[in-house]
Amino acid sequence: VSGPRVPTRSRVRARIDALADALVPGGDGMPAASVAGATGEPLDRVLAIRDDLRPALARVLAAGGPPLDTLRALHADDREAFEAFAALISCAYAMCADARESLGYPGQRAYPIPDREDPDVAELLAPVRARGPRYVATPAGDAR
Amino acid sequence: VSGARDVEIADVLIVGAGASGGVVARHLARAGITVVCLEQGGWTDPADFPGERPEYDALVTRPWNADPNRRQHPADYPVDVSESDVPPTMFNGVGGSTILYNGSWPRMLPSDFRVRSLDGIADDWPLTYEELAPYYARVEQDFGVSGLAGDPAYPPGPDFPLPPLPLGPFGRVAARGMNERQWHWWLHPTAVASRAHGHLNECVRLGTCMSGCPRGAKASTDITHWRDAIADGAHLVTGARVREVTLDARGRANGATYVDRAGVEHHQRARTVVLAANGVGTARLLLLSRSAGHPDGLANSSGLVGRRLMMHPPVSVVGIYEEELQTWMGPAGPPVISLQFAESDDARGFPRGAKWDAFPVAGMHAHVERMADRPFDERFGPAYHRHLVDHIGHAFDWDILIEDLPLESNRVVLSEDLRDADGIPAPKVHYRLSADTRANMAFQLARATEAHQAGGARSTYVAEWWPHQGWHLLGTARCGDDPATSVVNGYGEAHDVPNLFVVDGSVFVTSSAVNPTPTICAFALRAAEHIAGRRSAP
Repeated sequence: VSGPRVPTRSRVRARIDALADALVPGGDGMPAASVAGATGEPLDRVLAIRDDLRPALARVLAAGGPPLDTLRALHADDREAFEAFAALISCAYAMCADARESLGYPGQRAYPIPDREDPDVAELLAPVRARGPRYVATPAGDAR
Repeated sequence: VSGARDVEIADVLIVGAGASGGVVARHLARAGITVVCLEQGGWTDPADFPGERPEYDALVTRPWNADPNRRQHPADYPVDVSESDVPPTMFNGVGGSTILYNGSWPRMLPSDFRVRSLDGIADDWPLTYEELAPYYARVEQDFGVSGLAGDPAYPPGPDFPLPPLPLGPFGRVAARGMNERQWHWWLHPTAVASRAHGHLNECVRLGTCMSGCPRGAKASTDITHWRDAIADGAHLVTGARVREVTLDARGRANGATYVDRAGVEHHQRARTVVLAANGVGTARLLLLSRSAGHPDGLANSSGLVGRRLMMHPPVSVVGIYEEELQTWMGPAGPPVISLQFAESDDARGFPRGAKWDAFPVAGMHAHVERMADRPFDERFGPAYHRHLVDHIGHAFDWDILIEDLPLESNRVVLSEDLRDADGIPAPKVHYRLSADTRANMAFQLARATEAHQAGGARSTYVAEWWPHQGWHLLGTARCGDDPATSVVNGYGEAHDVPNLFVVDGSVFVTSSAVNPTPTICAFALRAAEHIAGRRSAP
């Protein structure tokens, strides 16, 4: 029996890794997308949120060729598919602890407001106060 | 959720449970008036908000995006933006767009109410700053506004109910640049609780205000108004999409027809109808409510329903700094406001001005997404990391809200071919930036670049606001004293239908340059007081 070859799951993942690393390679002290783990569970979780992007992802995976050339060609010829893939990988990358730590980014987290007021605000605002009122007065009840 | 099946005739029927609907409902319910509100969306659970979830970056790209065309919740209706430079943003649900706003809470300037008198363009409002000032003060209390009194850009006013939020590292840098230029700045008044207040918890600076506050510290009317309104007897029907305001034989509003989430049509009777569905939704509903007596849409004898749409096209200048600015630390409402260039200056060659605020960008992907108009090699490959290293914790926006003036060609109409999930015609937005708006933008962007440079930025660039978002939906049922040139009066009452009110941003005569929610709420409170007073009159 012959027919179209269906990529195995591992082959698909390998292709996603290659494309993702062409999009987000290692550098500037930061890991490549697959090295950070973006193309594993994070990508699955992003796809669960953005299942609307699955058709575009399928188009990206259907495009053959060297990864960087493939992405450039998609950027030029199928921008929707390219942007979908870029969003999936970039959002998945943002979930990776290694990527965040490399940036010095702690993520969005709680910073309780200190009890004391900003000590220098009065000083910073002093020149603004010194220049005096700047609004345009409009006496109540003037022409309508 | 409180249903209304047992209310045969409401004293007041409100359409929309957002900012203005919440204000009106709470005031009227407390006054003992039987209130029913029809809201097409539902309640949001703070636990669902993205702020503290690992998938934050993905969640804000769609399910918690402010653009209804991207979000596509069941409660959302599509908006045809094929002829608009800016897509409108909103949230449909209890709390309305206060669920996703950042809580910026500046009053309009006195001159904003007198643009015709002062600048010879557009129109004056039928009320003054001084008339609205007591209502501003009351809604500041109700929404738990944090701020510092004494801003010289405004007439003297009362203290805010809560102390200001911390200025923070990047707020200090922004202030430094403005002081260097000797330009106006102040601590931005914000409806984010710096201390626990009413039903609001104290802010913990997650920095994710614009995707809903998971800690219940941002004032959204589901928290600040609807809980009390329902406790006082208001009936809130969720999942109720209104398709028509109905009239009696005398031409007075007598209720509204709505579709529930099962697709079943209902009619709620009422003695007074209040529209609070935002500048797109209210115009859409008035245009949908055509009848023999109102062939061009309800309350539209002036022909102005849907026209004069203003959206504050936002742009910004990003400054990148060497120093650590901790821009991930909230609140995502801006710490600094500037009204240096908000008032008119004939020397600039265009009327009116803009409001600035120093603004952080939360998350990682948002920094990349807003570069979507750049070539591949400036966004991905090695550029990806360089961009993030430059921006995360080292960059903030001078975000600029342009005061766009009312043009009758900028308008909301009914789409001829796009319909919502219930088969109701969707709104279509026609919105083009005017030459004055573009001149205003160019001027402000140049000044904001200078402000960053004065603050010590090592580089700057102009960024469109990710990209193009029309947060403020204003002017499509303007208020005024003359029925020939306005839709409603200064209390929001339709000239053509005396028991029909509009209380959302549709009533704006001009847009001001500042965020409109405080003015929407103050106007709505004044209207609610008027409605309550009239009902109690002998």
